[in-house]
Amino acid sequence: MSEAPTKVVVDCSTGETQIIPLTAEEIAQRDQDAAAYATAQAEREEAEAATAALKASARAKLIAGTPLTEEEAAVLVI
Amino acid sequence: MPILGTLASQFAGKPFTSFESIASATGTGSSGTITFSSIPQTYSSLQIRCVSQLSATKGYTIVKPNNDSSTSNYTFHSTYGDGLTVTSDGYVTGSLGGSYSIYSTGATSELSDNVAATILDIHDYASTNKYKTFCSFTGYSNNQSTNNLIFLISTLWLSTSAISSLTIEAQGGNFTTKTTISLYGIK
Repeated sequence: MSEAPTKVVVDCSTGETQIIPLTAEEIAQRDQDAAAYATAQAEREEAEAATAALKASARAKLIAGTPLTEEEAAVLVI
Repeated sequence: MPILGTLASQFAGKPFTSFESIASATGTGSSGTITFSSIPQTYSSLQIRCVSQLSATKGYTIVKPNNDSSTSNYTFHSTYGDGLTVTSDGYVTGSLGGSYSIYSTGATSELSDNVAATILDIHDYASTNKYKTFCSFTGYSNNQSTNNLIFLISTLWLSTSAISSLTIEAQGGNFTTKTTISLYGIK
């Protein structure tokens, strides 16, 4: 059986540090945060991959002297 | 009148008190959350200075003022580079429930003894009539040509509440014992 997750709490008014088990609500919130983060990160990575693919395609077309699409031109010209 | 004719000489022997340590916490290896509670309301700004590492893979670490997890209260944007390319992105309210303003290395990622460094400023945190802005500079070098990260991140917390606590939450695993998070007050 794994140990219950905990949090470190530092009381700035006293300097006291306590290690307290997370409540069920806090664990649920942490899981929710992690899921939201994973979704956001996946979306960001997908967008980055799409931009990288457009750049690679645009470069290849420039070298070959073939016309670029508007999207490909947009990633090269700001 | 400065004794030696320089501005610095008039402070000789006197402590500089405009930047003060409030509290500090070290990772335990078994906790993924560090909270600073009962933050005094007597400073103009707060600053977090930390080195951080997660027990799992590298990633963002969330900062929640007053333990607020509402996705409708946070918006942020960032510019970051990995050693090869520079990218910019942003999130409007509704997607993430915290300020993603600290990046941490991971004990299972690349260099296992490496930590990320962060300086995070929280301006006018005790105000009760304006939203709060967080500005951070965070990242790490990894002795590789491209697999490094450096971020400039700005977060807006859409709340007029004074900040009395800061909860710092690891995204994946716990804070390792290589982590130290220090909170400072600026007068």
